[in-house]
Amino acid sequence: MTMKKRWLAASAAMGAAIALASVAVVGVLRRVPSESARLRELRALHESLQTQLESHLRSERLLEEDFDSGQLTVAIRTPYLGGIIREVSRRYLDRVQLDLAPDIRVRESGEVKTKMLGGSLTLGEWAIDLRIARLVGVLGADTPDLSVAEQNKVRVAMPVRLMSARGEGTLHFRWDSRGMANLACRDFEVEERLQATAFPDIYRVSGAFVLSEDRGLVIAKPEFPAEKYRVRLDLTPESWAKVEAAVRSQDTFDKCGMAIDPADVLPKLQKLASAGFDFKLPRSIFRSVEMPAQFRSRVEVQGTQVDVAVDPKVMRLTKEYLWYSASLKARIMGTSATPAPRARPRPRR
Amino acid sequence: MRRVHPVLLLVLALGAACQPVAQRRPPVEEVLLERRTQGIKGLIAAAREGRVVPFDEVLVVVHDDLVQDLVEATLPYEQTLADRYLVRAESASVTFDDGFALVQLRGRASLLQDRDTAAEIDVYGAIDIVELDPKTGVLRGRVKILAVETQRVDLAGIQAPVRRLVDDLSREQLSAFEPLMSNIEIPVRLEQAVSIPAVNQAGIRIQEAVLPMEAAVVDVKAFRGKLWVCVKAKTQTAAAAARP
Repeated sequence: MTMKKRWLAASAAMGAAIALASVAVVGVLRRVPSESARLRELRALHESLQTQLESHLRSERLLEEDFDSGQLTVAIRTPYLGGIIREVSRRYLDRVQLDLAPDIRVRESGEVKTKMLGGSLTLGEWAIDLRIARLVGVLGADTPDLSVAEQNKVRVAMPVRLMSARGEGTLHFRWDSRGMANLACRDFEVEERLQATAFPDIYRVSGAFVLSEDRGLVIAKPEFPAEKYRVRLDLTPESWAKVEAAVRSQDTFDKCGMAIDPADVLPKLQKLASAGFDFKLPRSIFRSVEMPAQFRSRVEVQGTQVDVAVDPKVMRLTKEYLWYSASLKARIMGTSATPAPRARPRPRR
Repeated sequence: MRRVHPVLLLVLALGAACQPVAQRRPPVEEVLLERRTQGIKGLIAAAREGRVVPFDEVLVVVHDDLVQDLVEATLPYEQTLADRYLVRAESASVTFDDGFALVQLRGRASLLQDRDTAAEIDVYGAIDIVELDPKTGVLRGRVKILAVETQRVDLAGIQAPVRRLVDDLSREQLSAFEPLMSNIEIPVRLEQAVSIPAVNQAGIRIQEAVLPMEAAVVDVKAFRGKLWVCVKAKTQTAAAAARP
């Protein structure tokens, strides 16, 4: 190779090297473009807007609340929550059918005496035993009044109407002669089937729902004390007629019944029956209510099922809202700490 | 062996250097800043009306680290895109700020047929739609891809196939990356009815009571590291849902 050719080859090689270096430089320049005017403008605008926003947010009362007690917070306005409890309770207790065996007993007894030889002689003792073995009725609740109380409680005062009730039972009438009267008077017993109706009444049922968290669910649990409510009864006219007939049938000389005055005994019985009996609302009529917003323990993220461990943090009921929060830890069930990459199913959109 | 003429080599090299830049997307930082400024403007407008968080019935507040935790739980995963690329998502970052719910995935993109030709890839998406799943009542965010950024893995060497991959990825439609990010369910569910089961015991008979509910997301804001989701919920009126 001549000197000239060598020089040409070296020049060409150098030129190629420069060209290749240029490629690299241009490539790098492409990769790191100089900051554009638009970008600088946007940055300045962004900064200025951020300052403005912060001054606006400082006056937001809601943001003063602690939203950092958990990673997920659900708040429900108390009036809305009250509306749910009110409406659910009203609907639920709108028609409660009772078919109870209360074993109600009303008893009245007395002695029949007569004056004899300047003294008093007991002729005998009578007893009337009214027994209501079965009570079938319908209770209905009106819209309850609610108020927020301490310890995450919603106090409830609910008018409950005894809309209708009918009882079934027996009348047991007994005469027991005593002493000398045993010689002249006969003992006797009468039993009749009876029917009774309850007076329509309104009872004020008071209690509370306690809000608590249970496995991601917010539950309003009923807390109603076992109060007694008085149910007043009256026999049906037909049944009173049976009682009266029973008493009168014994009002004969040989049964010493002349001393038992039906006009005296029947009002006593009526008074006793209408005084009523104490009735406890069965606890089972109050049920827990699950609130509509709940934490979930499994979700789908980018087409993959992810299990979430819910760790409840705060629950607070105020006049303004019910507030509950939780921290959550996500993991895919059955995976090891360093899983192999998975091909994902095509996600749904 | 036949030699390539050095001048031809020079021309080819210069030609490559002067090749016009392919149609590229705007810089990622610009796209994100545009979104942030838009988002803050929206927040300021809402604040002026005193309705930054229009919480009337139900409010759900979601921390960005929870959503990041949920996404990270699914990592790593691989996704085929456009029948050409394989993307392995390896890390995620979620930030709820400036009125903008940003989800960023970082990973490695390679050719489906040649796994060694690979580039780093960052995919940026925004949770643009938050809704309640009509069937399950679960809160769900839908991610829309905003930007994609790719870089060569090996900056020292010049590998034409890798450069082509980076260029090809940068020219792909954003919609091609959608399978990488789709739906993210938030672990909160709003029931569509409140019910109390029937009772039939010890002489008490009560029918089941069901109170149907309607709920819909009406407002979503992202700021201070949280997503603020306001849900409008109402119960059906007594008359509309009276017992049979």
